[in-house]
Amino acid sequence: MSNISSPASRGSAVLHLLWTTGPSAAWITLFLVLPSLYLVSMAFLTNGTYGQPEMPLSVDSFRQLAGYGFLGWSPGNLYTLLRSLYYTLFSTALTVLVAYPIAYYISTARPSLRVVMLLAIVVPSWTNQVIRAFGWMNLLAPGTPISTLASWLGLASPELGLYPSSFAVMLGLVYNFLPFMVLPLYSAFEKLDMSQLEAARDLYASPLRAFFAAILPQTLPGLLAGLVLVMIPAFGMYVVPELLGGGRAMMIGNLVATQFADGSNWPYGAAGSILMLAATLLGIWLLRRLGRRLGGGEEVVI
Amino acid sequence: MPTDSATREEFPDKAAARSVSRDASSITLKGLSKRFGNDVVALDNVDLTIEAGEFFTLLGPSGCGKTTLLRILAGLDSADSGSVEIGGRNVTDVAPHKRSVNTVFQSYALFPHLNVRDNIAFGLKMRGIGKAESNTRVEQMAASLKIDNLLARQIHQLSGGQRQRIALARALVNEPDVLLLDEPLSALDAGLRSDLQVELKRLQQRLGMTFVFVTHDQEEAMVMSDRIALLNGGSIEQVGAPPEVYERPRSRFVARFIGHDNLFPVSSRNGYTINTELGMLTTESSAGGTASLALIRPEIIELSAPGSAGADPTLALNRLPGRVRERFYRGATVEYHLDCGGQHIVAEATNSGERLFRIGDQVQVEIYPEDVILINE
Repeated sequence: MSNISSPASRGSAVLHLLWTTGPSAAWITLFLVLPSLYLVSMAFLTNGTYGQPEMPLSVDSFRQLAGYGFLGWSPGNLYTLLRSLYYTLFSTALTVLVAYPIAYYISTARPSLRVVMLLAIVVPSWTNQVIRAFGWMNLLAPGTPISTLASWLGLASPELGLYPSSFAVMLGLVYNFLPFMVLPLYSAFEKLDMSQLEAARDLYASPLRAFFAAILPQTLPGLLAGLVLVMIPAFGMYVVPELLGGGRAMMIGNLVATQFADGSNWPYGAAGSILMLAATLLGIWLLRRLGRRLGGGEEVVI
Repeated sequence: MPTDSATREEFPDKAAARSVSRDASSITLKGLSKRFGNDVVALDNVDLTIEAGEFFTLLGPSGCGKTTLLRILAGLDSADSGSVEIGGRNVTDVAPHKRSVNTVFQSYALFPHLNVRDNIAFGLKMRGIGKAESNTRVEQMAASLKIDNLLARQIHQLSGGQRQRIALARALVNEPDVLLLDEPLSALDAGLRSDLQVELKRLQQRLGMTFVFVTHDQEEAMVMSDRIALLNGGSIEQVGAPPEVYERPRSRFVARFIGHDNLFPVSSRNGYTINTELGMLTTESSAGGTASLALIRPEIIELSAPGSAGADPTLALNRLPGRVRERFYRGATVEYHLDCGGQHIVAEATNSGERLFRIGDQVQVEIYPEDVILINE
């Protein structure tokens, strides 16, 4: 780049830059930045009599989100937020527990089998989420074999079955997001240096301690990537709690969706999605911090 | 070695303590077999005894089963059949973390997310040894291996030689009964490698610890070992001290692997005389039945100008006419590749300052009868 200073070549360099980055910048502006700005500005409008957003600017929607209504403060939204967090964290933890052995098992299988196994993990997610949720509804409804077995074991009442319930929501979340945890973990396991595990075992570590000393640090980048891929969409999940929770296990995604659809209170819905966005960014920030600390000084890339 | 005097002072107590409990570190293997899949035989009915305090080397080409054997000792692999005893205790089915055995891995297998200090302290921590004692032992070990200045470093900041020492320290700090070393020097460059060979050997003598060392490098094995076991295709071909293995190889494989080129099939034997492709050779003894192979070590062959009196004209020497085909000057020695009646023979002469033979020169090859080594296969 020695001739960058000459005006002609600088002009061509600028042109080159515009040509290469322009389309993606335009795309992001058009489909991310502008809608986001629209959404943010929407949150500061007032909800009109017939459900249309209108002037003047106000923070009513945020007050409403914080739980203040006609009848004073109610904890409903707070519960929804906490429930969302609880569902997200608990289902993510379960996903991790299920995904680790699967990812390890696939990585140790014959290469020709690995492809088949990975496909078996991924292919179900090609089907529409709604259809799969309906599938679970049919599997868990009262009178189905699984529900009968559960009630026989005393885990569910025979009249109610397993659906709708928060158990069904949890199951649906884990089922939905398992591929997004298995795939990054698998790619981390593929590069696993087994000799570190053997060194840990050789140096008096029990199998469990050897996992934390040798496998967890090596698969940490995959785990963190998986956490982001699972937690963010799980936090904003709409379909699963709507269908499998029977409308009773509302998450923050449902709150937002309701305001845009039935509730016809767009500013309130926009405020809800800003809250979701803020919570998600906070989550990513925490994960990055965690990754940096566990990564031993080396930045774990998300 | 500059580390020597420092280390001597650190270790005498341990060496003394160890010599008392030496039996704890002998190893007995009985009928050890291991297969991978259906057709790969890694070990085939191996019986072996390794004495306490011995520097014992498992030598062989890749795929001979030496690493598998080491891994079975560590408990990282299990044998299909047979038993492993360490210090008289049957550990065949004992998990690796419950054996008083530590390994220096070929790739070192250091934990990259831990610094040097935590790497070395890992085994002590897993055994629940307190922070204070652990620190003392780590620092003592680091000082004795001259890596005390590296304790706060991260693993990725270290050179290969430094990593090697840390892997060694991480294993030795646990004071195991047996130290297993899986080609620990193979990733290092030649100079560092020969330094560490000497250092490892001295360390082992000082500690009086049983070392089981795996290598495919016969020179390394001979320099360091008290005894060597040569493995081939999962079986032990020969066990012996380095001179024994080098001077009296028991099979063609051992002779070849240890670096001998002058091997000649024996077609018939009549008393002291054998008939080989090289011609009739007189041997030292007529005992021992039929021999299939004659070995002549390059360094004991005497070369003289044809017609000269030679080494000692009165002796019953084997004298063969030859012609120099190639010459390799090595400094201390000169290697001649000779043509002896159509047979290729290698002679290694000390470079004593006398005139060297040139390519094309006619020479007289002289071999003492006692230097014709017969191999029965």
